[in-house]
Amino acid sequence: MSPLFRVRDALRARPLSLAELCVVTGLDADSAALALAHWRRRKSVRRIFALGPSTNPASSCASRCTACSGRAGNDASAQAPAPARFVWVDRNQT
Amino acid sequence: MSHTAMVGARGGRRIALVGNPNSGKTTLFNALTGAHQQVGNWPGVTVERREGRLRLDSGELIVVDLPGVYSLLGGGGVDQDIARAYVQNAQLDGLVQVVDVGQLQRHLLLTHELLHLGRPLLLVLNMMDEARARRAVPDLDRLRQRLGGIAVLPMVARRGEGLAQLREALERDFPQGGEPVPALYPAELAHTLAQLAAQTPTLAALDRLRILEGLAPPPTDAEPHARRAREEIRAKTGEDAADALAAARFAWAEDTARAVLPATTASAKERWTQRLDRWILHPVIGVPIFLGVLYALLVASFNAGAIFQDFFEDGSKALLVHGLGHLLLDAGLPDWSVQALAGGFGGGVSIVLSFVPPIAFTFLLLAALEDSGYFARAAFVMDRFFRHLGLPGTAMVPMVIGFGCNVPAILATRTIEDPRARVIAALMQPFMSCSARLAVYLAFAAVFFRGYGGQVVFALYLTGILVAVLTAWLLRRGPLPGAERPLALELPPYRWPGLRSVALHAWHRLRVFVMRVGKVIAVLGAILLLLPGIGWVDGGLRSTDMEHSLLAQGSRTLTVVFAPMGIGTEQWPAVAGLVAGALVKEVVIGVMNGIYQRQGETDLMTAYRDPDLGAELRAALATIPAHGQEFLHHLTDPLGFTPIGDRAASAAAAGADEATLKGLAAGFTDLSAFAYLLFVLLYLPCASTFAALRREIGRGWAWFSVFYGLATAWIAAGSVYQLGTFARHPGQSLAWLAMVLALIALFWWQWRRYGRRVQGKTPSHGLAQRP
Amino acid sequence: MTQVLSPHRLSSARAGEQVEICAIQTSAQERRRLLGLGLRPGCLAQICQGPNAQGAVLQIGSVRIALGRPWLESIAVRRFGGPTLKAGNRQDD
Repeated sequence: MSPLFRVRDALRARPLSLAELCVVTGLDADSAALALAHWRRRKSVRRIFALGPSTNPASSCASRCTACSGRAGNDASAQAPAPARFVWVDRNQT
Repeated sequence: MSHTAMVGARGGRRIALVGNPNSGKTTLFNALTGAHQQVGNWPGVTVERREGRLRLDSGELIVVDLPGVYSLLGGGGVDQDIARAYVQNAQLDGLVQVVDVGQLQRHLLLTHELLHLGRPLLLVLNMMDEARARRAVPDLDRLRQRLGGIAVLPMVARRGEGLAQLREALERDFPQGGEPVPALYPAELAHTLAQLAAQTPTLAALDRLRILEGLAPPPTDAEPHARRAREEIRAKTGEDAADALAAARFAWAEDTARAVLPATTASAKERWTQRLDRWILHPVIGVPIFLGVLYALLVASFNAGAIFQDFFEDGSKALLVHGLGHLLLDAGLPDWSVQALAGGFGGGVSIVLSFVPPIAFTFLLLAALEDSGYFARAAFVMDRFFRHLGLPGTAMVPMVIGFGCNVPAILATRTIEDPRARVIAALMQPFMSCSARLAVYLAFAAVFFRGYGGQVVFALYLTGILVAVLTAWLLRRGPLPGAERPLALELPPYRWPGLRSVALHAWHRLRVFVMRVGKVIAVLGAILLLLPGIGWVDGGLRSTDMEHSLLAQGSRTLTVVFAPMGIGTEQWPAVAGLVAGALVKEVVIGVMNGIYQRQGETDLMTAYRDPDLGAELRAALATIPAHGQEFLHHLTDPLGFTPIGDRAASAAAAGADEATLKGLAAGFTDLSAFAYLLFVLLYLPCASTFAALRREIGRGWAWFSVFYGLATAWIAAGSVYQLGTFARHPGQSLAWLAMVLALIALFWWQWRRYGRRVQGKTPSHGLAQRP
Repeated sequence: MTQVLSPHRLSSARAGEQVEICAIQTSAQERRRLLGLGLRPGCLAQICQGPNAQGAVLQIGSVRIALGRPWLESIAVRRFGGPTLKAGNRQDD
């Protein structure tokens, strides 16, 4: 099966991040990204971000909450955002 | 690059470099055109345009460097639009696609599109060095076949590797054909596309693709054909034409990459690597495995080298000392100059050559270890222990080699990446008790330490290691501060070392040693070998026996310095040994032999008057099989500790004559003997080691090593003796200890000051500075 | 609402796990060094050995990388294959 359709089938099953997509399809990151670019261009894939701690120091969240921003400076895990995930969009239904 | 030249604007053949971003296009462009390039902008936009000229035998070639592009069908910004338009429309004699061979599959997507253009195409697979390191080199012939016979050239653009081949290929038009045109699409798609091509002959192949994939509107007359083609594709494949065509492209790229890349990268080799790493990287078992490998390294560098060492030493002595001396004597030169040139200089060169076997074997095995992939594992396993010293795990390797000989050990510090750590590791080496010093220990053990000679020798080895560790600690608190960068390295797959690359690597290091280090040893050797053979007699320099030589005269004067160690003037032969030992530490016993035996003046000249070179060379050759037999025995005792405890065996192993042993027994006590041995252990790097230090870490640090060693040796040996004889002369001992403590305090204060001053000058990450 | 698995330090991960690299807390120079090895936020890694006193060995793609112990506290990872994201997520395009 073409890598392009492997990416489609994988995303149809559930939303995946780029890294997860690579594992499921066996593609390297660059090829997976190019395949995703094709499907995004075809409006078949949307990118979604999960809610997580803000890593933007300019954001109001970080500036008001001293506990969060104070801790975030020292702890790599507190700073880490959730990676973007890609979800398949059935064009017939949009 | 030597062929490039600026030529007039006549114009000639023109090619363009095309490829994905970060494939090394611009590096290749610079390598091809050198300084002969023009940089401007593409018309109407602020995208840089680079064009250069390349002079070939067949004429001038214009090379255009295009912006990186992922696809010729669309996407990206203005720069990619420019590349697309140029590639499709410009007057070109050919296209060179630059591919990052580590991302072959992704780059082949562009190759698929380029093959639609019908333009002469040549593929350059860049970054082949990384592919080789990852054991992922594609089969170039197979790739060429699959691409319809176009030229496929390997390249490492940033090193210029492969440039000559590319220039040769550029001399003529790119080879086309010779292989069947590659099937770019599965049959059902190919049929539809061929039909559409026949129906729309004015459209370029890529334009047709854009239309079918919905990326561009069709011209009015082509619209019905395009619609029909799309419907046909949907009927045959069940997919939209855009998806079916893109899918075919992805599938072709994947299949092609899979067909040409080695399968073993993914499976068998990885499995083996994982299996081996489970043990080799085990937090407990990994350490003894490492020690075992080091043991083998020690045996190879020291014992295997020893098989040939006498041959090199005796053979070169026959030719360069006795042979040369004979020639010079025949030429009528005075005795003392014959002694200087033949004995001194010739002897110095002979010493250099005697090092060749152990160094050659050391580097052969080190190169094999590195090539096999084990070295990186060793660094990881030992990292946690050495981090506390501020050193990487690989610092252990030179330390162990140093137990055989310090010279290859210091040269081996080159494998340490961090320059600061390399300096520290090199400065630790002189304290690794080498085989030459063992000869001295054995001689003294024969006389003084019967029954517990082993313990004494072990104590000396341990002291050496402790002083080495102290030295590292000291340097970290002085001018070489900073934590060692946390370890992060790639573990390459295991493989059998390549014979050719290993041999080449070892040969290169050997050549460096003989040419650079060898020069210094030869000069120092000339000076130090002269001293026992000439003396100031009857108002002039004459060739003398050892008792009246400059060495003896100087040593008698120097004995006062050694008084705190319990050495009196009557023990000047031992001091003479130390002075001569500054050249090569084996000579310590040899010199004492010479003095205690009262070697006559005529002996030295006889060798020059009537050398039997043939017999000497035959004898030298005969040492090889003789030592070869001993080698097997030494496998269980590489450092030669066995003779300890047996007086005759120790003496024989040390090369000490009976007269020497009697002389030692008369002059030393147990304590002063131990103090003397401590001095021999620590006092300074021998001339060869000094030369190696100078080469690897610079003159300043090499001299530091000399003075630091002398000071450490004097303080340590003196303190041991003074503490040991405290009861006999408490006042003197206390005075000595007070002086030593004051000196140490002064040194520490100045050392910290110097360290702070150096730290102020270096960037925060800090590289080693030569004082 | 289903929680996304929080990132944790590499030192808390286990051998055999597949993790996603979330963040690397270090200097720019060191980050570039790791990038050269293929280790960057967003990439997937298999923990082959460790984490222990020596450090850890990760496999990223076909590349095996050995990391010394100090890295265990500086790298944040998330266990791979967490539960699907549901309502409450922000969307774009």
